[in-house]
Amino acid sequence: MVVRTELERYAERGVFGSFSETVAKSGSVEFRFNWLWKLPFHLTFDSKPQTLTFKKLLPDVEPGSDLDAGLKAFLKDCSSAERPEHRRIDRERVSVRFSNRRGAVSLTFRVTGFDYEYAVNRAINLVNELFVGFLNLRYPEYMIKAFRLPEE
Amino acid sequence: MQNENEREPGSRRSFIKGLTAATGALAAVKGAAAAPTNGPSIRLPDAIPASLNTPAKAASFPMRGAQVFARACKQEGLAALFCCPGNYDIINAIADEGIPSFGGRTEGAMCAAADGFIRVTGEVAACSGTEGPGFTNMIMNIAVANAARTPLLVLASNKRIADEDAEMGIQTVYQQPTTEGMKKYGKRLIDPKRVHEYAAYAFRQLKTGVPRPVHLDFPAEIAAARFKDASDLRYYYDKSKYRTEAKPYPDPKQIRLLAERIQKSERPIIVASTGVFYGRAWGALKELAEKADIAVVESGTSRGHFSDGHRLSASTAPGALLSADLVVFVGQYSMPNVGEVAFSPDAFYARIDPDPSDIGRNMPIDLGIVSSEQAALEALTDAVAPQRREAWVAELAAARKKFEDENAEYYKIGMSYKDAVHAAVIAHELSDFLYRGDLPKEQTTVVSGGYGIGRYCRRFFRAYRPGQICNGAYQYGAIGPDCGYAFGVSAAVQLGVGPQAAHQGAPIIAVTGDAGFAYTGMELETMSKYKMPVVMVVYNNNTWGVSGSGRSAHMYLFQENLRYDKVAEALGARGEYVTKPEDFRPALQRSYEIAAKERISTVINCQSKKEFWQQAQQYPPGFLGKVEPGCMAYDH
Repeated sequence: MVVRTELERYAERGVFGSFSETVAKSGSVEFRFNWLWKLPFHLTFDSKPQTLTFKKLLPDVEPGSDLDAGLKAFLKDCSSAERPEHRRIDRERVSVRFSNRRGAVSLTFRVTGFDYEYAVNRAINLVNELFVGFLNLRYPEYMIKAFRLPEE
Repeated sequence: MQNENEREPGSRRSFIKGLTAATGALAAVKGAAAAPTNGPSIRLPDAIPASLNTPAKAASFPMRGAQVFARACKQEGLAALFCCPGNYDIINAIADEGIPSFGGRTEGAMCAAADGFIRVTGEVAACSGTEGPGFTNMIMNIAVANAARTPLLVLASNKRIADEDAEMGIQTVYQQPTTEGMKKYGKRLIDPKRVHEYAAYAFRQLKTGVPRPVHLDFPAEIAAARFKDASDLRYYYDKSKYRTEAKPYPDPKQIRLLAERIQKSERPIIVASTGVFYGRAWGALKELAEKADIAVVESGTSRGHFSDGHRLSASTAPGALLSADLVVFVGQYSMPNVGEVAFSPDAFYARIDPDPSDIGRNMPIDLGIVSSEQAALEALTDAVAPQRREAWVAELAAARKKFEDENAEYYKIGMSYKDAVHAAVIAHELSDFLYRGDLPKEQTTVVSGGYGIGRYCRRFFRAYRPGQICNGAYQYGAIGPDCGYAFGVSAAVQLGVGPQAAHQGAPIIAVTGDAGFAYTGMELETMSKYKMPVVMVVYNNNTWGVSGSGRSAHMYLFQENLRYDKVAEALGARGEYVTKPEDFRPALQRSYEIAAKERISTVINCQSKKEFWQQAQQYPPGFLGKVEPGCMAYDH
């Protein structure tokens, strides 16, 4: 499976501190890995709808809040033509859906066609940028509270 | 031609001359700034300039143990000593040797002063305290220096060997375990005849490999021992016999591999950190970067080893970091973890470090090279072909512009708050004064400290030559040492040591917060005593940088509108109290001019308010986050 191979590549390089997977009865596969700040991440691959989902990626994001709006704007910007091409998400190949259910934000990447290598790469890079380049810079107090990152 | 780094440090005589000349000015300004209503005026006793004018006298046999040690320090080029009284034989002997020596108000602040001095000169300096309380007062700043990888020599007296375990008299404690985990090497000397040998142990550790503090304790028998001639010592060799100047050279195969990677890369970046500065590798770094169009971003305890004004600088281009496809850490001694630096998970990671046992710690690496920074950079320069990467250079320029535009927006917002001074106003006005006014932009050395104010100022401060910025809070995260750093950095500039030589005598700027000021603010007296021209900006927002609520709120708050400027005046310095944003710049201008002309320090107490952080919705942009590495770097 391309998705597994691509994710394993990050684990083999040490980008992920650990890596494992479980297959659900529905056939979806959940990949678990420790990554940024050694936090646990979960990425679910569902082959039928061709989606990769970071479920409950961000906790405690009040719907309609400044952070909620900021996240939506950040995601929109990821496909902007003003971005360098190597940092851009090609919406023709993968679309990103934002959902906020009672404060828990999930991101779903829907693959158009079968370029899973591209989809995994963009998903991982987007979440990386979301954490280290966006939230860390714009919402440091949220990061401290939500992920108990060192404050002092 | 003499290299800048090979210049003799500024002479002790010229430094003292400035001090003596400025003595008269002290009284004049006192009258203007702090007219006493009763009692005698603050004055510098004649004994201080007289003491500083006393000629140095190199010790020769017969010598006491303290003199043998001080002689070794002199021969090793110990650049300065910062201390409080205590450990008397040692500090007196060091001063007698002509090593610039300074006495302050607390051992902790003097330890920070030595650390600050080292961070902007790259030279080894020492701090000293008396046994027991004086020594333990230094602990926080020894830990800071350890996290910062500073080659700091920590000296302390330590009771008598004859009184071991007896609790005879006072101040008795076994000190070495206290610095466990905070030093590279430590020793309580127990055999007087080995005093020179242990000086050799200390400098071998301080001057080779990855630096960290070295801690020596001197029981009274060691310092007081008498030696008729060298044969009374068990070991008395020249430094060329007990350590080497040789550096580790890189494996040519690894250099070829990295050169090939650089060749294939579209957007390579070098993270130039602490080791580049201490290795004085900034020339080699520039040559490599320019030959192959490699971006450079700085990290570490000081900045300027790659100019922010260079077209390849990414230190003020945080938006471009995630684009790098090859990241080469050079001399990054305090290594970040995954997530603490804003690079892509797809980038190829290489690390150049003199210590093989650290390569691969925290950040996984694709290629490790064991080498001194200078040797590896020179070897890479030879190995890479000339290359141009116009698209990458354009992306860096665009990211720098975006960052500057954002800073300008912060300033505009900050100026809209009229009832208190916002951090963005302070940061912008300082930047404008230092880099876009009458001063040469590479002249002023800056101590960039504080917590909330630090988040703003670091975005605006720029470094155009090595050692121009001393990053206050670094990996250990102590906010208190800033006034101590300011004293040490100012001493470095007044003496013109290392990269400060070209700017000898210039005033320095230091920034701290009201929380930080409390720890070392008494050193304004030390600055005044030694006529250090320091402009100390205190961001006074009436609170610690964090807040509590309910029954805990009081623990996070101070009394409001405290007058740190008056504290400065009471300690022999000047004070300015700024309550409106438009008044900051004139106060800065006045303070700088008086510092330059009369060598008088000033505290500019900038009255802000806690709501700027605590009610960010009402007062955007609020407390700022950061992206590392680069100018905003705080942790690594």
